[in-house]
Amino acid sequence: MSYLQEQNEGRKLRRWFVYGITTVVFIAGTVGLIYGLKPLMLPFIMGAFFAYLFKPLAKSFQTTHWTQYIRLGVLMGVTALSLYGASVFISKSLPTESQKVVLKVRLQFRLHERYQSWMGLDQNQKGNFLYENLGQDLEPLKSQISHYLDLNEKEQTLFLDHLKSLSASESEKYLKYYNENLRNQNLELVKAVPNEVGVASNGTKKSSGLLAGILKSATSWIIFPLVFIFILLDNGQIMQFFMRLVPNRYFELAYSVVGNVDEALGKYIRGTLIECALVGVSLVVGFYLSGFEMQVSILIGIIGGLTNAIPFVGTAIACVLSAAYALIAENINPLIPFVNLDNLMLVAIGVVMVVHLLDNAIFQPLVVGKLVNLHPLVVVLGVFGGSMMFGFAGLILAIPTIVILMVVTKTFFTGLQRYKII
Amino acid sequence: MNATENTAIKKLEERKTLLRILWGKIRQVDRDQLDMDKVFFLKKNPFFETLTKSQLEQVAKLIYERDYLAGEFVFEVGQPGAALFIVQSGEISIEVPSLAEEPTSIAVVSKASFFGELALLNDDPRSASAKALVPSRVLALFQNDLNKLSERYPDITAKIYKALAVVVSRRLKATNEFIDKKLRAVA
Repeated sequence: MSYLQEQNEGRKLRRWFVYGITTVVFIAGTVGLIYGLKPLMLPFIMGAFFAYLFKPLAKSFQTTHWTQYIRLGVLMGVTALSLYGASVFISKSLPTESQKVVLKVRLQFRLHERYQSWMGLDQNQKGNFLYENLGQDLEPLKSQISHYLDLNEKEQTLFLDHLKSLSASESEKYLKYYNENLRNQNLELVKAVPNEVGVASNGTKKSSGLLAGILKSATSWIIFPLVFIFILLDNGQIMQFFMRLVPNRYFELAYSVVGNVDEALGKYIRGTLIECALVGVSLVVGFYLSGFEMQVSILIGIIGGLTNAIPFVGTAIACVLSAAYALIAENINPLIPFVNLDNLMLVAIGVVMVVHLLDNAIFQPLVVGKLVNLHPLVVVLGVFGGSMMFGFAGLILAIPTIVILMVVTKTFFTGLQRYKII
Repeated sequence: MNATENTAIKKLEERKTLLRILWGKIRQVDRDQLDMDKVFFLKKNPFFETLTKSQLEQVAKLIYERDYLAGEFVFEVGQPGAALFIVQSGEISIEVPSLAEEPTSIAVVSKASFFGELALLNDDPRSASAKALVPSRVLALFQNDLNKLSERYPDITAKIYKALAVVVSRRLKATNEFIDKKLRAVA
């Protein structure tokens, strides 16, 4: 072997060593950063996600007379106005503290009343066939929910104060509910006092923790608009930067992979958003036809539609919310003839199920396509695993992450074969 | 025209100039020097010579710069075509595999010339390999980016595709003439 060949071999070895060490350090650093900056992860990803979502819109009204700064300003103005409108509507729809307490009293009363009616329980606590067979299992569950709705001292004061602001008939009605709830609590012989103390002390602890929590999350969420603006302002510079890091041999392949992933993800994200909107609108129509108040229908529709992005979880949330409302509903105006207060809960759950079926059979195949045909087991494991590892962020981002990994892996290996690299 | 009118006109012009500067600043904030260099370079290429300056700016944003060492392949025969390449500096050899061990060089592309242009039409496998003979810098324009550009600026891509059609037709004509000459020689 000549001196030149030896020198080249030596350089090759040293190059591998340097590249290897750099890669290990880079990966370790990235993992460490992700772990250390965990609170910033959700705002960062959400900022990038929204920028990705709005990018086609920002480009769609691109003209030669408008710079991207002006376009971005207009887009952000419109978005901010829409968000403001939505937040005003939602905050108006949400109950105040005293209304929440009244709702708790109403819910607890109705829960007991409906339970007694469904189980056919009389004065002697003798029930029907359902109670005889399922009573032992359902009773503790019902008690647990009922105790969760018990009022603590502070809430009791708030409730009694709020009664003064109501009309005489309303006030009398809620007072009746309240007394009935107290009577039921005593009948059930539950350890109400320690529970109340527990709730009260937890409440105090939470209020101090809550403020710190809000401040902490507000600090983290400052990054959200920054990421949103910078990614929306990007004119291909981020892609150019990353492409510069790719070795020449893999340049075209890397571009093709990124392009395909971008196209597939764009379709997935925008498709999912349209799907969520369709689900939300269907829920609103369904609930309204069943006799829900319009405002409540819209509120549950928005929540159910948005959470529909998480498979199963969205349906479950819509079920729970609509069932809870059906439980406390007193005056309903159904457009469907057979609906009444007794079967409203079943009808509401039926509406959620029908919308779920519509989503699976029509909306998803039509707007999202076959990209998200994940096995239900993968979805369940993904959602649970994600929430266990990263909390709320993991819950929301588990499925999109799985989809991204699937698309990247599939496109990458197809590309490697097409470019005859493997 | 009296002095007062002159002063008024002068003031109006000054105001107009100020507005133009301000508006020009607002409009030009996203242009950087690198893009402007690319714009001037692209203007010399037959693909882009009919484009206006503002249209070239849009194309320049999609261009990728790559540096190749001598002997390094830009692409190899059989790989799917994804981009058109323009030589900014250096020399690129276009080679086809031959029965002998060494591939045959059919052309050497130098500064401001282009190769791999058919990749702008489809992603069929490359019919030849492109290898850098000396350290070279090439600019790449991808078909995918051009497709996206055509959604927003169809006038730009129409001009590029027209230029591509002219290039392809010229080459076809040249090939026909070459075959014709060969056939006449055989006859």
